[in-house]
Amino acid sequence: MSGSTPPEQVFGSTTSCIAHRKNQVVVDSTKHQKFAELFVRNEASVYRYIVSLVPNRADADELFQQTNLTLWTIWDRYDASCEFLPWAFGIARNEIRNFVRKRNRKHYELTDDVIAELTERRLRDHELLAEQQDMLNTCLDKLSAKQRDLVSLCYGSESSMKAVADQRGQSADSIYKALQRIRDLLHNCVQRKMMLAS
Amino acid sequence: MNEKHSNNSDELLALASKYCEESLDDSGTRRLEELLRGNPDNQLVFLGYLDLHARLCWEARSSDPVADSPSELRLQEKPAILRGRSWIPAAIALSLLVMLTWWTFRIPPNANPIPPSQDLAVATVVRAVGRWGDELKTVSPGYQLKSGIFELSQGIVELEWPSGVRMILESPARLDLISSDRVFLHTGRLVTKVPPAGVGFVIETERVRLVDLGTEFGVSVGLSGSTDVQVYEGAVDAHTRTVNGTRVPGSRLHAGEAFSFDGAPKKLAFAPDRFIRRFPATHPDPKTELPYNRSEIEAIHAVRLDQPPVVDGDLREWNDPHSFSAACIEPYDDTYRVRGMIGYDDKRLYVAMHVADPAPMANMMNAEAESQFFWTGGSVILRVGADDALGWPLNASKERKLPPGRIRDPIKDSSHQVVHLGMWYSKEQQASQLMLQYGIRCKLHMLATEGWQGAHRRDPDGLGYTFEYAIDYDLLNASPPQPGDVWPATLAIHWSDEAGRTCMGRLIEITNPDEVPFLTFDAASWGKLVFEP
Repeated sequence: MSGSTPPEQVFGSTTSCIAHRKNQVVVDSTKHQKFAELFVRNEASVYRYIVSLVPNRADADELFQQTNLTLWTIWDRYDASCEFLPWAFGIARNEIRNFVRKRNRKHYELTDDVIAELTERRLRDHELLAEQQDMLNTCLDKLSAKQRDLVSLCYGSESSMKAVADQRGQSADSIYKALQRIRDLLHNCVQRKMMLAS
Repeated sequence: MNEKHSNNSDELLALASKYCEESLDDSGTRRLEELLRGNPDNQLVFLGYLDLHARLCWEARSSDPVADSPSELRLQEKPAILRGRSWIPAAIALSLLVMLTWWTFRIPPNANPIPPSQDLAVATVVRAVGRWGDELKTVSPGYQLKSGIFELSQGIVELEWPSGVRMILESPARLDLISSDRVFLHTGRLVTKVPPAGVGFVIETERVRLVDLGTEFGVSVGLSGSTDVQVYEGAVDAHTRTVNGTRVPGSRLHAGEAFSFDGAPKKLAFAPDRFIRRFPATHPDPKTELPYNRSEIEAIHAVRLDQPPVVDGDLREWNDPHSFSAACIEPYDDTYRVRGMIGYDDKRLYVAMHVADPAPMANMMNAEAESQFFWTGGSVILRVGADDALGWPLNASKERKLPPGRIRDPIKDSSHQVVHLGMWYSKEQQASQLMLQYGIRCKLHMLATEGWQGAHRRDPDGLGYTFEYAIDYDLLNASPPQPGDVWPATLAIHWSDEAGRTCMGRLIEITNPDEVPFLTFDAASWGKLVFEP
């Protein structure tokens, strides 16, 4: 299937966790079910991982879709005795590499060593980051209708920020600043809740 | 300080924001990398910020279009995951797989599993010791909760639905009140008790949907969404949730069973104390009688009146420099407080007060049928030893054991000059009431019909009331006090629920600071009523 490039590199000890059983014909339904469980449980984390390396929403969506496809294509190469996330992150990372190379999207690529550190940090603090997502639920509820509209417009639109700004009769810079304020507000809210919870 | 290991929080967030917007130039990217390289704290902040950005991306891609958006800017109606044709076979395969998978659960980046429905009051706060929301506002009994998310930040509340369903919710909790028979518990702990009229009441969590069959059971949801359920009485049907929101056939949990729903459902040992099943009593320890205030007044003063006041509930004619004020502890001090004045002349004792009360003058207790419990519906009780000769502190007690060194005084213990004056407004009778109980043991009591006047008046904003009473000394078995006399005295204010039956809290004031703990029926712990010249 096009685009389903096998992983070139995976992180940590994941390399040894790929079971090479291409000749296996009979599908192990129990294993398949377990994989489905893991996939569903971790898809949000995979999406967040991709966005952290490719912050453009449209690109991230495409990469997420492609990564999921690859995961399902080579699901039987996953060794259930190993952690799922490092394996899935490795596949996502490869998809990102291919994508950047093909589309010439170098401008938001961090260097490999920083990406490796961030990936390691994400895996180590996975639970903490998931907890922040829970806190974010409440914080999102606190956005005003106006702020929600702006988020929907800017994040949900395929149009450029300039087109959004023109539509609203504002400068692109003011839209960027408004979005930054919203993100900062949410960030502060989450941090405050984390502090209270601790 | 080594820059590498400092947080550089503002700069980092500014760079992260530009990174989200793809407006970071080369030097900005290099600076961001400098801040991230080898600095776990900064890495975590950066990842948190980017995860927030990811969440907004996800929310936008899966939400409905905004109503006033131009058509070319409208969001996709279906999630992007289904757009690409190449994805369809895998998506179908996934759907089939999850249909086969019993215990898989929806882990959202998506925020609201079920949106609030109508903007109607669906439940009432019956009892509360807590605060809600980020601003930590006080939760007060009588609050009507509309559909939507109720976030209890501190404390514990008891909620009631019109069907009679009762729920005790422990903080920190996030409860989505969806309708009159359905809630979604995001996080927190609750115990619900469902009467026959409430059968079918549904509690959902991220992991499980619980349909009540007339029972009492507890549910707790952790931050990860893991759900524990314990059934105390009756039975409840549990349906787990699947990835596409459909439910699979559930299992029935019975009294004495407890399960954890996180991954495969796991049976837990039944632990009776796992949840709080009863709202904590007003008096956790009957020997200490903890009130919702800290008493600060030892003595109040009765002013001698040249002209008797008009007993009409209007306090404007009272210009008493000896008025006293008391309030419940923070955060209840704004809502539950009292300001009072006492006057006297040769014929009567006069009592006037303003009581802040969110459920004013609601008392529905039948004082004749339940004379021991008239106070629970909202009342003020002034207790006095109506004779200077009784002395202060007053050695009268119904306690079986007295403190070491104190000798019981049988005469004072049985004195009918020890009088408890219960004052309240009967909502049913639409009239002020006066209950007199005599002796420290209250063995004799009467609902007074003569020898007194009383009037109540509701505050215009409905958040309190004023009252005035004029009481003949005969009713107190007393002679007119003389200037300088001291009567032992203490005061209790009781607040009720809106139904006027259940005591929700009380304030005790005018106490002897040397006699702790305060005991209502040990007059040695009472304060003083001093008669001014």
